[in-house]
Amino acid sequence: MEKLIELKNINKVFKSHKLISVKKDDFVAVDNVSLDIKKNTVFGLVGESGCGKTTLARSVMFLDPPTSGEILFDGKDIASLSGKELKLYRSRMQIVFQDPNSALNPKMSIYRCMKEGLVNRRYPKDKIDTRIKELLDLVGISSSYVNRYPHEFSGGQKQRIVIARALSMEPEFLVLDEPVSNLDVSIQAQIINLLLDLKDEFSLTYLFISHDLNLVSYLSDEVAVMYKGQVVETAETEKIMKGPLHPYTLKLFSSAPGKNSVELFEADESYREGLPEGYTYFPPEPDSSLQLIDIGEGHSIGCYALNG
Amino acid sequence: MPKKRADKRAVKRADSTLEIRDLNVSFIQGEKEANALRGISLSLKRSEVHSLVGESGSGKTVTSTCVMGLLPTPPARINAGEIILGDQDLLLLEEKDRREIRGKDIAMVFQEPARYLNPTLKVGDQITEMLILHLGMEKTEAVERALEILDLVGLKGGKRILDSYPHELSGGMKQRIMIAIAISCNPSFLIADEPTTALDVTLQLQILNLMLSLKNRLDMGILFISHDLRVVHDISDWISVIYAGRIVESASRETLFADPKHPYTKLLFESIPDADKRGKRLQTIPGKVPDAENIPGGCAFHPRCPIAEEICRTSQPETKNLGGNHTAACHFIGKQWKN
Repeated sequence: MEKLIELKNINKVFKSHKLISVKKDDFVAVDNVSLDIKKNTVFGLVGESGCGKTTLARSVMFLDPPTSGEILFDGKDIASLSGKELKLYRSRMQIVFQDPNSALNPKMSIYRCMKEGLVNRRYPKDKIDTRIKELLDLVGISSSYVNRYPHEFSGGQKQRIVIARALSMEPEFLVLDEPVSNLDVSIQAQIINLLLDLKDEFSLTYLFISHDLNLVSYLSDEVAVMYKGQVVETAETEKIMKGPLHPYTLKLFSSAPGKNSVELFEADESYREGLPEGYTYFPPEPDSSLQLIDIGEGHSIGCYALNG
Repeated sequence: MPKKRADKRAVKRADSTLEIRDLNVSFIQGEKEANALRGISLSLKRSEVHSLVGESGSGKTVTSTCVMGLLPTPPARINAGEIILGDQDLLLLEEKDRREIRGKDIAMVFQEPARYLNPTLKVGDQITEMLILHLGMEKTEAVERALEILDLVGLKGGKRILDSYPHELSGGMKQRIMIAIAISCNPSFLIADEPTTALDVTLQLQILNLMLSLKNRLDMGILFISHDLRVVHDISDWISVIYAGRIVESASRETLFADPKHPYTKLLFESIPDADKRGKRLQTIPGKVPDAENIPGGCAFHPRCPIAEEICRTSQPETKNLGGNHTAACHFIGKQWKN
C-alpha cells in the first residue's frame, strides 16, 4: 500500500533556556523515531503520559518543527517547503485535540469559527453558508444551532464541531490526539463510529493517539508503542495484540483494565522473548542507543546490540 | 488534651454494613431544583468491593459526598432517605458527632490527590493529624504508626517521605499518600471516588492492586465509584449501575457481566471498544444523560431506550428482584431488540 506519511529519524529536543547555567540539561522528548503511515489506514500510537506522543504529533503537523529528521508527506519533504507552500500542505493535514473546550474560541459562534478556516482558504463566498451546513450535517449537528456558542453544547457535541472544522479544510490526513478520552462511554462510541464513517467516506488517513489500548486495538490497522520518547515496538494491530514482545509493551498491555487481573507484568533481566542473537532489551551501557529491528512481516522491536 | 482523647481507641465497632436507603437529594438554585439523587439504595458489606458505575452527571459523586457528610446544605437538600451505620442514621447526627465518624469509620479517597492534599503541610503532618485527632495518639506514637502505614501502602523511604511536601511527590505517590491518610484510622468503610481516573494505566493497576490487598488485610468495605466498566470488572464483588440519580441495575459482578438485564446496562457493555469488536460498528446510545433539572418523566432512560413503550413515558418502573439479589428497574426486563 502507498505511504502517505514517512517519518525518518525524528528528534525533538527541548533546550533549557537558563542564562548562566553551564550545565546542559536538554530534554529529548522524541528520540530517533521513524514510522510509515499508509494511505487510508489508522495508525495507533500508544504510551503513557509524558512519553512524547503529543510532541511527535505536533512535529508531524509542523506546529513544533522537529529538531532533526525528515517528514515526508506524500513523498515531499515538508521542511523544504516555503511558508506559502507549507500553508497549502497544512490544509491537507489537520489535527483534533483532546479537549474541545480549549480548541474552540468561547467568544466565537459556531458559524464564525467554521467560517474562519473557509475564508482563509478562499472558499467562494456565496457557498460558505451551505458548506458550513453540509459539514455540520456530516457530523450530526443540526444546522439550526449554527449561531450558538461553544458553551451551549455538550462535550460530545463540541468534539463533533471540532471534527467538522478540521474537515472543512478537506484534509487527507488527520491527527487525532486522544479525541475521546474526555467523553463518557456512550458518547465515546458515537464519536468513534463517526470517525470511522468519515474515514471511509473521504478516504482519510488517521494518526490516532491514545493511552487506551482497548480502543486502539479496536480501530487501528497498525500500532506503535512509545516509551520515553522512543518507539519500542511496532506491528500490525492483530500481530501486536496476539504476540507482544517488548517488555514495556507487555507491561502496558497487562495494565489495560478488563482482564480480570490486577497483576502488572514486570520483566527481569533474563527476559529475551523474540530477540535475535546478539541483542538485548536492556541497555548494556548507560549510553547505548536503541535500534528498531524488523523481526519479520513488519513487526519491529526496539533493542540494543550486544558488542563483543 | 491528648489524655482525654486516649479512651476513644477503646470504642469497639460492631458495624458490619453501611446501608444507604432511598436517598433523595436535590440542589436548589433560586427557583430551580435539580433532583440529583432520586431514591438510591445500596448496601456495602465489610471486606467487599461494591462499585457504583455511571456516566458523568448521573449522581455518583453526590452519593459519595452525601455518605461522607460533605454535601453543603444549602444548596443541597436531603429530601428523604437514611444512611445506616451500625445502629445509627448518619443523616440524623449532629455535625460534631458526624466528624467523629468521618475519617475514622468511613474514610474517603478522592479523584485528584493533588487537590485534596494541603500543599503547605508536610505529608507526615497530614497523616499524623488523623491519628492524633481520631485516636488520641501522642505525636511520637503517631509518627511511628505513620511509618507503618507508609509501608502498608508500598511507599519506601519512610522518614524522608513524611518530611516531604506534596509537590515533591509524583501523582502515583500522592494517591498512595491519600490512601495512607484514608486507612490511617483503620476505617470499616472506604469510599473511593474515581481514585485512578487521573493516573496512567500502569499506575492505575498498581493503585487498584494496593486497594484490594488493603481491603483484605484491614477487612474494609470499599464503595468504588467509577465511570470505567472495565476497571470495575477487575475489582468488584458487587456492581450497581446508576442512571440519572437512580440505580437501574444491581448484581454480583459475574451475573452482571454474564447476563445484564436492563437495556442501559446492555448498551453500555456493547458500546465499549475492544479488539474483539474490530471491523464491527460500536453500539451507541443515542442522546445524552439528562440534566438533573429536567429528568424525563416515567423511566428516565426512555428517550434513549430501544425498547421503550407508552408505559415507560408515564410510569417509573419498580425495582424488581430477579433472584439472588439481582435487581433491575425496567418495565420490560429481558425484552430483546434488533439493532
